[in-house]
Amino acid sequence: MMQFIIDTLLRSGDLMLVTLGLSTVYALVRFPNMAQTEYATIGAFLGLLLAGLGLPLWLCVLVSALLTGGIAVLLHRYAFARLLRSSPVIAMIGSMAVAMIIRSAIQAVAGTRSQRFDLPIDVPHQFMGAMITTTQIVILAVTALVIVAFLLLLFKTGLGRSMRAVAAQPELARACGISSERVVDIIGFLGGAFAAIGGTLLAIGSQVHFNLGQDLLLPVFAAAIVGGLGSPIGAILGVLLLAFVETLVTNLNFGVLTGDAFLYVPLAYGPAAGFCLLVITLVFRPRGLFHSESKRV
Amino acid sequence: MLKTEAISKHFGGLEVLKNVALEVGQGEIVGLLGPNGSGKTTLLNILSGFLKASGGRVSYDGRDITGMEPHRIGRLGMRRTFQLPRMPARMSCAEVLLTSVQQPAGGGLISLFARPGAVHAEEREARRRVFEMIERLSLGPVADRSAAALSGGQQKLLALGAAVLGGAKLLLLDEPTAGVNPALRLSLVDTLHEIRRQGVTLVVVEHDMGFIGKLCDRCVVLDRGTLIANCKPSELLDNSEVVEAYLGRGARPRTVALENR
Amino acid sequence: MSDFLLHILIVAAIYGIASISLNLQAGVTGLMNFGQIAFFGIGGYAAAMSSQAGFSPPVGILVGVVVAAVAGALVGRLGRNLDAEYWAIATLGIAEIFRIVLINEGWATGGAGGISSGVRLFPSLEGRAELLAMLALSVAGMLVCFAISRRLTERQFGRMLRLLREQPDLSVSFGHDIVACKVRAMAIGAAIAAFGGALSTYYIAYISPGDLLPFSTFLIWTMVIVGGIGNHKGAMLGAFVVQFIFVGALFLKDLLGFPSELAGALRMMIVGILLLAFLMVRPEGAIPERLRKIDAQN
Repeated sequence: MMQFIIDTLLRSGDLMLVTLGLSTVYALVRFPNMAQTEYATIGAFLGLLLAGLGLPLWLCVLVSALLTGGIAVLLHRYAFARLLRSSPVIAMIGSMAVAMIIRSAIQAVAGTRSQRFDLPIDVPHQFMGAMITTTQIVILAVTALVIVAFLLLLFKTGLGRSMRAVAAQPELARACGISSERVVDIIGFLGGAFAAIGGTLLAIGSQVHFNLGQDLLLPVFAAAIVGGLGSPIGAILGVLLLAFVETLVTNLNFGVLTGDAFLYVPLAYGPAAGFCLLVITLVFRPRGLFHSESKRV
Repeated sequence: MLKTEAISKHFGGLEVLKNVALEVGQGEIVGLLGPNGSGKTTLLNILSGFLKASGGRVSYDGRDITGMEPHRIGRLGMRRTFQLPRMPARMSCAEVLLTSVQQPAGGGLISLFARPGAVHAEEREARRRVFEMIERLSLGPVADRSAAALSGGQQKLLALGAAVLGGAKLLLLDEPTAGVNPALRLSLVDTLHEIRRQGVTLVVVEHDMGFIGKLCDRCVVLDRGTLIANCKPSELLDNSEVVEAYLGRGARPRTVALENR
Repeated sequence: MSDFLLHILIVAAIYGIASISLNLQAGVTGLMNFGQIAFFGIGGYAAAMSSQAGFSPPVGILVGVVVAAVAGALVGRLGRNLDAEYWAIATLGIAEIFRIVLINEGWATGGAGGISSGVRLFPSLEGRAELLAMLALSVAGMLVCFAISRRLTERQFGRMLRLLREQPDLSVSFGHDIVACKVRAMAIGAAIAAFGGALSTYYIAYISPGDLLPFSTFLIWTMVIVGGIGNHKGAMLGAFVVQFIFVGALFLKDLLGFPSELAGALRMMIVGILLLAFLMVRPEGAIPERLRKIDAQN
């Protein structure tokens, strides 16, 4: 039971920050940015590069986050903003093109082999009958920290208020003197930075390869849509739900149905369960499972 | 022709229509008036099936159409126009009109390939009617232009023409004169009378009292979701409730006349 | 004409079929289908599986086309209420589910390794003659699909689709059942894509889940956008252009002395840059969709 919870949390941790970044940026740009998950790959490989240069781990994470955030801002200003002037659909297709370009660039530079950080041997711990390693604990802690910091920023600071205002009513916010360009830059930066931190943590916890963005694309979008695009809390809940469903489907013993002692769904179907959740959500409640109609003013 | 019973509609806690009972006879032209926010467009949307009523029934041409899909209502001959015309940019005016004509052979996936003769004949007849309509509405010069590039008034004419071409028996018009220049307004009255002569019943949502006065047999007034008057246009301004609804309490009625130019 | 050139042209024609199918859904009807490769794959796997079972190519093609049409109709029905961007994600998800099932149900589909189709389309021909026959078949197939799509688009059926793509409310007020229209557009588009997939599998004699990655769908999208979205001639042109660029990338790699592993990355980057460039500068494509002029006799 505890292992189940831990597995769910670990899977959530893999997706959490990237999804949070995606969902928050969506509130502003109003198109699904398919390049968002590539920021995670960029962040991971930048982190690996910096580690190769000898920087301490925490600094690698930080610097790669800052750099990736900057790249995200530049991409938005010079590519996506321009595409958005045509239509959100064109911006979405354009983001796929950007994702292809980023992915092929990383493939050309870093090769196709999986890579990971050079870390000391991991120490497993026993906790209520389940296993979790030090690295995994640290990753979950860092993820939680970033989430808490972001939520504090969003709900307790003036900047956060501006962000929420611009996300809810851009024209009105501008009329009140809030510079939406600045807010868009900041949110875009955070979206890139969160993705980068998420990607680097993945590289620390397991491994990354040039296709990470493509592998993350659907699960991240599934979680974001299930939670409701544009809502940070929704993103967090969506990730937890998705991870839960994925873990559940592959851990349930369906042997009762066929009379066998063991009948498990193959592990590879885990993501498929998540995609089914996505499709079901889109068919019945496209605005997200937690969305309430009356919230829209 | 059209009858509603106790129509009500609420959005969340906001009650937009309360107990609206309306009756329109065959061949009538009925004006639907009321200040902004009184629920006129909501009522129109419910009648045409674009919105589901929270309560009440709608019957059209003898059948109960409450809750029916809007496209089925359209096929039964109830057509409506929109306050903001919203025409496609990548289709020409002539094409929009052509799309409105009912073409069962050309519109069916199988029949398109299986019955080329019928498709061809349908197309020729449809095109003939479309060009006739273009003439009637004086849209000749812009027939090949993108429908979205037309002026507001022309787009409204286009929508009107499309509805008639589509075989409308009951036409719901949502503010046909908004954004239309005064000269066109006059000719619109004539055009609509002509359409009525051909057997079409009309319900017109409008603000322009003069236009209503020239056009309608009868008026129905909504205020904050309830029906407050049902009378002839000339009697409107005698009704203090109507005046209050539009001008506020204590206003004095003034005669509004459509100037003949 | 060298054998290699013949091969490129055959593949380009097959891409042309896929491109026309997507154009019908996305360009004409406005359905942002980002899972088109799955329908292509249904045709391909139907071809391979039926040839393994000993059936002739026409049967294999028919099976693929019918199954894809049904699948397309289902997808169209499922997504009837979705906005364009959500459609894209939903179809991407469905295509990925399909691919994962293909990989895992190896007992039926050969798993990650894929299956080969043993049946040859022209058993009596060899070498150059076989290639020429294949080219004739694929070009003819592409032109037939073009003719079908054109008839659909230029008559009332197509007008209904084109209206609902821009102004669905107006379309409903005209009495059009827009859900039925979308379902039909999806079904036909899927059927045409499956036809292309079947041809492709019979030609290459092999299909695997690796052919059905999202990148393949993006490739078809690039063809449609570069060629001209909404225009069937544009779709065909886009297919040939992208195919030649694809091949050109290989030569470029040799010219510049890149190692072979970079070929894949180079092709993807060129496709991405091409797509982005067109979207930014000329989103309507090389041959834009034109306003149709209506005469009394057309």
